[in-house]
Amino acid sequence: MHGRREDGTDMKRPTMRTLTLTVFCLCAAGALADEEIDRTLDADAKGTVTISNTAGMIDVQGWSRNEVNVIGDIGRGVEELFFERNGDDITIQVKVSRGHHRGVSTDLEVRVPQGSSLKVSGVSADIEVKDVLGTQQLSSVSGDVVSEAAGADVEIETVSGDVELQGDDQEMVAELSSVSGDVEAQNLVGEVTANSVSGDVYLIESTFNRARIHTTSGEIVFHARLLDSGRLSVETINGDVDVVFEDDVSARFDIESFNGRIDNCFGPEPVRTSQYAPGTELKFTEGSGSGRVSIKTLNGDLQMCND
Amino acid sequence: MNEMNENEFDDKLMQAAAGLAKEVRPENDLWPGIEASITSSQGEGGWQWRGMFAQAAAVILLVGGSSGLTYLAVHEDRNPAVPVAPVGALEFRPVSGSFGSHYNLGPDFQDARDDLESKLQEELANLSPETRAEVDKNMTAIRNAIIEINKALAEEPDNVLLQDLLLSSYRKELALMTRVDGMASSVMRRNDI
Amino acid sequence: MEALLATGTAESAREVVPVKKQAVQDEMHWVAEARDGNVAAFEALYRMQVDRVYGLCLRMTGNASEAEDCVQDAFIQAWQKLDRFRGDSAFGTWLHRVAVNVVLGRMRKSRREQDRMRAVSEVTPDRETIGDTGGLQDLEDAVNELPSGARNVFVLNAVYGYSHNETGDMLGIAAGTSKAQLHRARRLLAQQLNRNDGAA
Repeated sequence: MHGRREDGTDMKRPTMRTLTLTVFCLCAAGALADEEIDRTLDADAKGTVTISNTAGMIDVQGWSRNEVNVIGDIGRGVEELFFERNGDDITIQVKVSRGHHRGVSTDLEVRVPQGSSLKVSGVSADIEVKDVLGTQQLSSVSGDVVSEAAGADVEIETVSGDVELQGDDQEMVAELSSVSGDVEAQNLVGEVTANSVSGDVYLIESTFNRARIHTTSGEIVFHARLLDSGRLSVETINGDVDVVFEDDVSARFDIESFNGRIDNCFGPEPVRTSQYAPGTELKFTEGSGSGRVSIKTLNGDLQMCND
Repeated sequence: MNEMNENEFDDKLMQAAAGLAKEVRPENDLWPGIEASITSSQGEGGWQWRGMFAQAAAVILLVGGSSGLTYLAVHEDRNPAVPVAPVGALEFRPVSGSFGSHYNLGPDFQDARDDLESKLQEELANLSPETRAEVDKNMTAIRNAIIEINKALAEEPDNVLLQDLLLSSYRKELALMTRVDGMASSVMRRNDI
Repeated sequence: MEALLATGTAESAREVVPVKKQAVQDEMHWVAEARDGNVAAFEALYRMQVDRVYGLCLRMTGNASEAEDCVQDAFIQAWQKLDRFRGDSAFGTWLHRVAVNVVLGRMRKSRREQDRMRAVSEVTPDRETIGDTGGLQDLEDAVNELPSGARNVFVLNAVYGYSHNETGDMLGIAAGTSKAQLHRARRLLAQQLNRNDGAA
């Protein structure tokens, strides 16, 4: 898919995965031209845009017009592209005909007013969001979700897709969760909850007053600043944990591992919880002790340092 | 004992890393295999498609295989090496003595869990085989964690760390079931006109 | 430890091979030919690059037979994607990108099939040694033991010299994450090597 929009920007090429699905469909059905659509609706400067697509790509970008523009490569088997305005809300939905849901892929490129709030959901669709200043709720089952935050709350959920959030160092609340995908975020400020079951979680170059990170077997890497009176809670069953506090940290530390090793480069040495049973713990106060750092693992090893 | 300070050590480490061999001769000559692949596909003309179909087929096979494995692990308790109990056996009976007053998960939790569990298998059927396999695999990981923690708790019922981790794992299990529930119904909604 | 690191510098002096202008021109010639479907030209490229691609695959997978599969897949994919090579990077670098994608793809598949075990050694029981001589073997072993995220970054950045931007690009992670992983790798390696020293 190549082309240029009115405003002169390039449209993106579909991902490899999208090509695979589209190709599969074309192959089975014989040569078929996909329908290309290009529709625009007037929109509220700070309204809500809700987009849903099963497979393909959902590419959303904020712009300065009070309009929502959808350019789509509609695959065969798609009954219609539903695109309607209802007051402040705009809905874009790829409706697939009954019995046609395998092998149908639609790539959507959507432009929305920058101030919009977004709700995007896909099944195997990859989602990418840029330049949107309102809140975002993004979810995909097996697609990857990549977004930029701009001082508004962001919630991202996937099952096997990866989650990537690029912050802009403005205060907000991020909730990022996956089942087997990785969760990666940087330049966040404020609060974050980041979970994966078997995927890894990376939180870096950020500043938090609240951070909660949970995995079952995924690795956890936290290289960030914890503010005074801030709270960091890390929990994992089997994942290894690497925590580096950028800048000074002032907190009460409550660290325990049942079978894992604890390796810290500040604070006292870890001690056995009991003489007769497994378990190592590390409890101490650093600085004024205003914050709280709690790290718990069953089998995962912990490395903790400060820069 | 290493007398260098941290920075010196680190510099030398990085130098040594840069000095590691970048080129390694493989034991076997791999060209024949490569040549066979690129020339056979060239001959057919539809080689690009072939490659993709082969990959797709491989994924389906793998997924089928791992779903089967998961099923074995979760639903059969005959395997002595991996003591994965069938879901029914993971009953939690809140006993104030062993878990202390903080961790009384209570009948509401148990009801919620049973409810979701009975829907779970139905709903999994609405999702793609790949997603189903992914969910199964991760559900098994969480349940294995629950079993491992319970075993450890049997030896040390008063261990607060274990109690905390057990609680979290139950919550994770519920969260995953809820997520699947949400997913399956939204998939259905999308496909139904 | 001193010996190990001292040897490292000496090894790197021997390692450097001057790149002849002629060789680069030849390579571009073969690429052009191969793009037109000339299999013999592609074989010439293979011969020129295989050791470097295998080296990367071997360090990333730690396993000779997986590395061989990785090399084969990488070259096959490279053949299929040759028209996408624009010449804005060296051909070897482009091949490395293809190889990294192959390794990551395989890792993703195997993660979905098996439970991830905590210890790296359990996942890859037959981690191969590269065969560097002298004190570098300890470093080799220690790199092999790193968790995969840290190891991938260490191999690409510290061994092969790709920048954090390039490394991030190849691995599909942010440059900042690459830096964090390198930091982590260095600390884990320092720990591992010091521990060996203490034991020795």
